[in-house]
Amino acid sequence: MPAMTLSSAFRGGIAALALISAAGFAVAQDVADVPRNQTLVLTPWGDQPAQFANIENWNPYLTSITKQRDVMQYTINEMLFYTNLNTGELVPWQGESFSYTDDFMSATITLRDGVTWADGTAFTAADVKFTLEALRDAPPEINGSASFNEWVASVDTPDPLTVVITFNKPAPRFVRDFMALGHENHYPILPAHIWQGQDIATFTNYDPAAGLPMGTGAYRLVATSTNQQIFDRRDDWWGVASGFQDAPAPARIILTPVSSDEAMGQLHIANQVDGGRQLLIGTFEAARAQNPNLISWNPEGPVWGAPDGCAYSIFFNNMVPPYDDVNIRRAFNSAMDRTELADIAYEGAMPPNTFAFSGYMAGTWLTPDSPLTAMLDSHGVDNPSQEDVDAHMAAGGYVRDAEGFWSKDGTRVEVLMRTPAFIQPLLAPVTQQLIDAGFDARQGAVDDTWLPDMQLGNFGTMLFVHCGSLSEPLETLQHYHSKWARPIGEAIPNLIAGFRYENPAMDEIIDRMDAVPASTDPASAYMADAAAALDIALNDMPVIHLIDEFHVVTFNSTYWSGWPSASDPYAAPYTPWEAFNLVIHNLQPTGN
Amino acid sequence: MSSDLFRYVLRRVIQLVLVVFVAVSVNFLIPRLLPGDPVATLIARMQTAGGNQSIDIEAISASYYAKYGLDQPLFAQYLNYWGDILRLDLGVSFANFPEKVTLMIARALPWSVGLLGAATLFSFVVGSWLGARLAWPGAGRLVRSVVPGMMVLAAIPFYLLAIILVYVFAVELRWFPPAGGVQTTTIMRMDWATVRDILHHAVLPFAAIALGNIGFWALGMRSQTVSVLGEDYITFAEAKGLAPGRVFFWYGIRNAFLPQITALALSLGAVVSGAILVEVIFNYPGLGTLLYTAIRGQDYYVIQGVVLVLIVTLAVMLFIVDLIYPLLDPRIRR
Repeated sequence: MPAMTLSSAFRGGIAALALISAAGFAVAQDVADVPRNQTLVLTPWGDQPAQFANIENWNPYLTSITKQRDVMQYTINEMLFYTNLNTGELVPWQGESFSYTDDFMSATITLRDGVTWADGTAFTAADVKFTLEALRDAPPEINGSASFNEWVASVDTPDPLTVVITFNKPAPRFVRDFMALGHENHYPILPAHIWQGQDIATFTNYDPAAGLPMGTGAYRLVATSTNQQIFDRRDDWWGVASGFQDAPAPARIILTPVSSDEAMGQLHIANQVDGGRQLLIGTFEAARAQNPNLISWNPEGPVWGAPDGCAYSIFFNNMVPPYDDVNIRRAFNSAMDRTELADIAYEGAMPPNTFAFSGYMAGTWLTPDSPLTAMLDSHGVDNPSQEDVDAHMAAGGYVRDAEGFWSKDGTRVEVLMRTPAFIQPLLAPVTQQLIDAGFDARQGAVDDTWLPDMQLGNFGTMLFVHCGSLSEPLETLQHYHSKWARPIGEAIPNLIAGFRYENPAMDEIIDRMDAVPASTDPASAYMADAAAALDIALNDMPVIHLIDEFHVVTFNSTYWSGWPSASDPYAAPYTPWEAFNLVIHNLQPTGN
Repeated sequence: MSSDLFRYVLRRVIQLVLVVFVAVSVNFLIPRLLPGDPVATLIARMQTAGGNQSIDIEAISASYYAKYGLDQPLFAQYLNYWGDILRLDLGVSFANFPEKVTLMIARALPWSVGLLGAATLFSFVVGSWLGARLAWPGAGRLVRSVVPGMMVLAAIPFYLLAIILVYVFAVELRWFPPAGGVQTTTIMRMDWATVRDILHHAVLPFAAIALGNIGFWALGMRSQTVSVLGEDYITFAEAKGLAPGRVFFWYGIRNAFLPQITALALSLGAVVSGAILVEVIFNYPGLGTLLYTAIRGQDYYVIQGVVLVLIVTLAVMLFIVDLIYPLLDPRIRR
């Protein structure tokens, strides 16, 4: 007895310590045990802290935490439509179909019958109306509020399964952009019976006793802490009851934080995670040597990964000298050896790129007979040549000074190349290539000052990511519109268009493209405009694209099979994108 | 309590209050003297988080200036800051708006205190004992061989030691988990299985910190003990025929220990700031990771909060040491 008492006391003491250690754990309700082989363990995408924050705030529209809630799109929430970016195929989900009026001033969405919220309430047109109007009228810190305010005039619901949206101006791509594409930004429909009367900017959407956060998705939140977010499959998910889909195989999804590439590799080796954060190629190959069950998009390297939809680029500040001189920009382009950059910075894991049309455009828009392909080829952008550098600089009136650096009127062109940390591998080789071409270039500090400086225009050159076309050329070309430019010192409204370019001729073309639906027909007016805009962009080079952003998305096939891949491209493999819900519904246990 | 002792304690209390006042004021001013606009940084971060979309910069900017009280004069901000601190409110994180900094620190603190507190105390006790034994005549072969090894480990930075430990014990031997505070699938409950899992995950980061520290403590204790050995009271104690163990503990260690206690207070005070790189390497959810993330993200309120906790803890630990000193060394009471 005394020994047992001592043991109990010891364990009690340790448990008390554990209690202190587990202070960050908020148990939503009693959580049952689920075997590892029925549990899908994922991590957030990208560089994230080792602790979750805002663990009791599940508002999907609060801009400051949208990335922290990048788990809701494949657990709690579902979308009206998904898009398989690999093929462009639309996958109807909560919605069945949509159509536009001829003038694109209105869209009609037909909802699927039988969709219900987690509490059994029917998912209806009233929910869609509530959400769109709430976003239209929301304060500025709400994700998408500026866009919904720009486009949505009114929403009507002639019957519970029909939504008619009236726009402020022709909106031929509104439904696709806001309700089907689901790349970085998510706009889930909210349950009106829960959110009605709440302040969208302050409502935390967290009340486990009341079933919040509530969505139509196949999972419910059962626990949230700084270390874990746990979601259990709902047996009453509408998809099964309505015969739409089988229930997804994972009985539980756990999201766990990971703070570094190395830590993620270690977790993969130990079979503690199944997917989530991307790995650097070296980490992936090292981890794969230890755990052969690790897979990526392609079966072989060095390009293991899949396109992220963005291009690593040199952003010029087109409003400040000397970068307001097209000759300088062209000379920079001629100084760039993209293949060498890809090899040095990313071990060949990311392919060279000449324009921010992502790999997802290849099969539809960049076919051999496409006018866009012809335009890209005609400009020969990827052609490193010192002779061309010299010619462009001479055209701009630049000469080499006594030390061999480019100068004009006795003033040397000093290049401070800056970058966010996530593109740091490019910084040294890009700077070196500029030095080799005769520029007095040096590397800027890698810290977060790039953010406000880029926003306010306090920079000359910046390595940055140009995220653009997934579905059509306009998605990239629109960033060349003058509407995004602001005077130096004034914040720009879209960081992706941070090169501050102004060109009325380009504006006219983009405005025309914006008013009509996209068309891959080589003879269409849209295609002619796209080619003309591309021509201007490649001539003026306000931004130079270097490398297509590919990530070694890594999945662990020890416990789960059915991951998307180049040979089974049913969805893009990125966890932060909405269509990852299709992946959740496609996974099958391996039996291990 | 004698009047001398009362005056001694009062002086220390006033010193503590002054230190905290100055430190808190400096902590308020420094982030505001730094170049850059935190709201601009916050909005720019929102723009990157939000991906490819436009936002109404002016409206958001005005909204956040008001939310953070940054639209008020500096002195008014300073007074608000003191008011918030007295209510234990350290503000709201910029990077994780609307998360309260107090809550973020409270969630991370137990992990760091549990790991670093235990590792610091362990290495202090073991290192000090080894150092004293090494200096004392007749140290065994084991002590003489272990201490130099610990000195070598002390010369290796924590983070490098951490990487070596991960490679050997997590990747190659697979005895311990490589990262995290708990197994990814562990359901954290107040039970023995959870405790065991937490301890299992703490072994490698604990070892990285403790192994790197033992040599440090041993070195300090050894030099103190060597100087104590030459004191007359040691010779006198031995001449009196006291047992070697009694001389070692009560006349040797007790006198050599005083500088070690001060250093321990400083180390324990620094525990709250976490072992940044070790926590980052082990993906450990402590204050070090929180501070690292906040610095990288220019999250001023979190940096300010963590630094404040660090300053106050250090001041309080030194205050406690000042109170304990008279008990350890009767000369101070005089």
